Formats: sequence, C-alpha cells, structure tokens
Amino acid sequence: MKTKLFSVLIMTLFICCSPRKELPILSNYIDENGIKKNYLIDDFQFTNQLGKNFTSENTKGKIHLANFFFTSCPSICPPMREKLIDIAITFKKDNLIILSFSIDLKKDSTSVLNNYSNATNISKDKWVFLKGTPSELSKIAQKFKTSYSNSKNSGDFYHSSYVALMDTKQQIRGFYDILNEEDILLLKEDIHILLNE
Amino acid sequence: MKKWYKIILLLFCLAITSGILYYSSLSNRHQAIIKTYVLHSLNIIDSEWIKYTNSKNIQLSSPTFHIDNVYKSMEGPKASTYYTLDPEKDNLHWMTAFNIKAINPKTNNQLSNDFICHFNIDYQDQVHHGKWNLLNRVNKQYPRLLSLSHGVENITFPKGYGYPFFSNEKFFITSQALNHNVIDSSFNVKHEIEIEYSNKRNHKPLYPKTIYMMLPFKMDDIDVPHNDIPANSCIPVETKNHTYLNEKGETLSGHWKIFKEEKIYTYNTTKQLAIKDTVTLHQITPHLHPFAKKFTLKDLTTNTTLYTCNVINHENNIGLTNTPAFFSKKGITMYPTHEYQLELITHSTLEEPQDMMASLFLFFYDKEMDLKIKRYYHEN
Repeated sequence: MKTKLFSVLIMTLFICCSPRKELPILSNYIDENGIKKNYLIDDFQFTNQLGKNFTSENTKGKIHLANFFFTSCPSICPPMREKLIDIAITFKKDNLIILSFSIDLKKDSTSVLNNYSNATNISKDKWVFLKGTPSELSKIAQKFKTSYSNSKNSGDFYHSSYVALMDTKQQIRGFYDILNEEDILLLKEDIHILLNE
Repeated sequence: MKKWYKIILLLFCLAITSGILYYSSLSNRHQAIIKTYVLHSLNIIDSEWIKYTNSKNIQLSSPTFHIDNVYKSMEGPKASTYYTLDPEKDNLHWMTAFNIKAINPKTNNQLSNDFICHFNIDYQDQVHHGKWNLLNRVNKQYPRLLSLSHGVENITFPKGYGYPFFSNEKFFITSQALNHNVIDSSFNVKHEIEIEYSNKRNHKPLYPKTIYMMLPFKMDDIDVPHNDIPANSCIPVETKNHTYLNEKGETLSGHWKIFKEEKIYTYNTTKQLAIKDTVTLHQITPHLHPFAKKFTLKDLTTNTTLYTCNVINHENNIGLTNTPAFFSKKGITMYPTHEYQLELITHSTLEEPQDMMASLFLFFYDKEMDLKIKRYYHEN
C-alpha cells in the first residue's frame, strides 16, 4: 500500500513539475499596413447533413477540428475519412466536434452528405458535414488559411489534407496533415492539451 | 497444466518463426524501419532528439541510427521531429545557413558524411503564408524548405538574404542515414544539424521552390521499354511518394534506375517553375545520387546555362564527394515567358542498376513578402 501511494505521489509530482506545453494562437495575420490582426472563427452559417442550420454559435465552448472535402473525392478523402473516424472514436466522450466542409456545391446535397455521414458510424453531433454558398465557403476557407478549387470549367477539384484545430474560444491552435502518422500523434497530444486548458 | 505450457510454447515458437520469416521477406528499407522502431522503443539505442537553441543557432541532435547493412538512398534508418523556436512568442527571425554532420554517438567525433542520406525541413503552408495573408500560395507546392543531402552538407544564403519565420512556426524535420560502402561491421551514428538564424532587420526574404527531373514509365508494365528509356530504367523506388501524372495522363517518376553507361536525361521544368513575374534566383541546392556526373539548369529560350553542378564522385567507392551549391547576391534573372530545362548526365561504373534522382532546391527573392515585411517592421 505504501509503495502504491509513493508511486502515485511521484507520478503526480512528475506531471505537476513537467513543463506545460503551450499551443500557439494561429488565427491572426499581418495586414497590408503591417499590423497584426487577431480574429475568431465566429461568424459562419452553413447547413448540416440533417438540413439544419449550423453556425459558429454551435462551436462556442467546444474544441473543434475542421477540414475540407467532397464526397466523390477518389484520392485523399477516403484515407482522411478513416483517420478522422479514428479521432472521433478516440475522443468520443470528450468536448470535441469535427466539422467537414464540402467543396462540391453541386453534387454534395444534404442527402448525399447524410449518407456519407451514416457510413462513418459516428454520431451526427460529433461529426458535422456542412454545405454552404460559394461565398460562405470561400470566406471560411480564408479564415482557416487554406485554398481549394472546385472550378466547373477546369474540372479540377482539390483541397488540402490538413485539418485545423480550434479551441473553445474559436481560435486556431494548430494545423495537422491528417495523412501523416506523426502529425496524427501530435494532433491527439494537442487535443489533450486543449481539453486540459 | 504441462499440456498448456507446451501449447503456449508451441504458439510462441510459431509466432517467432512467422515473425522472422515475415521480417526476412521485407525490403531493406522496411527492415530498417522495423529494426529502428524496435531499437528505439526498447531504448537499446538513444531514441530522443536533443534540441538546443541559443541566440544565433538552432541545434538538433538526432536519435542514434544503427548501421548494419548497405543502405542506399531512402533505405536507411530515419527519424523525424517537430521544431518550434518558441511557441509562446511571435517574433520574426531569419534562417540564414544550414549544416549537417554525422558523428559517433559515443565519442562525439565527426564521422564521414557518407552516412548522411538527407536532412529535410518542411514548413507549414497555412502558418507560413497565412501569417502574411498570402493565401494564394497555400497548396500550390509541397512545403519543403530545404533538403541537405549526401554531397551537399552545408549551405549559406547570400549575405543579406534569409528565410523569414516566426518564433511560433512549426517545422517538420527528418533525417535519414546512408551507407553505400561499409559491409563488414555494424556501428551507430547520429546526425547533428545546425541552423543559423538571425533577428536583424536588414534581410531580404527568399521564397523556396523545388524542381525535379521526372521520367515517364508505365505503372502496369514497368519492365517494358517506354519512350526510348531502357527496360527497368524508370522503376519508382517508392511509388507512393514519387509518382506523378502529367497533363497527358502519363505516369512519371522522380526516381529511376541507371545502368553501366553514360546517359543524358532532359526534362522541361517550365511548368514546375511556374514563374509569374520576372524573378531573381539567389541560391540553388542540388540533390543527386551517386554516379550523377553533371546537372544543369538551362534557359532554353536564350540557349544559356544558368547553373552547372559538376559532381565529384568518390574515386574508390560509392558516394558523392561534392555536389556544389550555388549562391549569388546579384542573382540570376528568370522570366515568365522563357522555357527552362533540367539536364542530367549520369555515368555508373557498376554492373548492377543504381537508383537516381535529381532535384534543385531554388531560392528566389520574394518581392511581395519583402514589401509586407518592411511595413511590419515599420509598425513593430
């Protein structure tokens, strides 16, 4: 019993005395006048896979991940989906939600998104699939510091394999390549840091 | 009870035998991955990166790599880590020079650079370009800042130039070991990486871009000659990461095999360069494999040579003694209307096919970012 208590004490001391890793706040940029501007991702309005409004009000107080995708994507989306399913399961009971913004405004209807959502077997509150207007999509991509292409003329669809990690205050705290195993480990570690903030 | 012991023992022996058979069926590269994982996980050899920073240098010491075999390019033990100068600060700095050396982990004495395959440093698109609100640059190219490799173990940017970064920017660093020649002993090496940086305000920003030679091959028929390239000459070493499609839908590889002969390869790199405005090129770091002889960047429009890397190979064994880098304060002017070509001459002296790749890490003066940085310095 004494030995167990001693071990718990040592572990507690170790955790308390270890330097706490801080995640930087990345939702900022330097404007045309050279001035640093901080911003929050607090003004978006999309429709979720159930056809209901989903706005930035729904992300307040929640740690959230965001990525861009389209349901008919043959290349990087299927492995991205597998990795995100793993994240959703790992943090099933935690205060974390996943937002996936579709870039295919034509094909990805609410019902298509809902079928895609059903195939993940993840709760619809946990992983939200979103569609919006071209201007809403462009605006949110800019806020998440990414670019995509869904040009009808070129037939060229692309988006990044990165996901953005946001804290409960709607600030970006990290970017992670969800197709890179080392980045996934780091993402999980950083989610734990935000959960304990 | 005894019967259970026997069954457990039998299952254990079966598992061990299956493991050994599976391991021996793996490629040299995959064996190195497993071996390194086991040695690091069991702490048999040092598995930690050591990071040290002072006001001028970032120093990274890799985990120990165990060398017990011939490891060609991309085959040897490797390790990766993340580096952030200071996540709690948001100050602008400049990377100005990079250096890697191999050392003996026990004595810290420097070893031959023949045990360095490469050291890569990748930046994050969203963070690096997003910070300056240059979002049109995100997702446009692989975010590799630089690769120092066998033959070019240190580079310095021209005086007054640098790569701008903020103290809370995250970099992904990978170092991989190499061994072309030592076959009769096993030993350990570490890589020591040094990045010089500065916070002086008198730097001009450089924009990195990688161009690389690619050759066509048929994915489903890689033994058949294609487009005048001999059989087996273009087998991708790692199809997952080094196979590309061009606009005609042809499969191209950034890795291929060379044979015992002198051979000239050319590749039109104009689209890779994607020059939008007239630019000046200030630094070139080549990345080549042994038996490369001469690597040239040409302006096809003016029929002029912009850069020639006259490679020095080892005389008595396999390896690159020197693949000279280029740097110039004045720079080379390159134009959006011009066509550019990479030309590589190889000359293998061995009977067995050897793998080859040829890239150039280019650094252009970044005029757009320079204007933004001047305004930033004015306000901060």
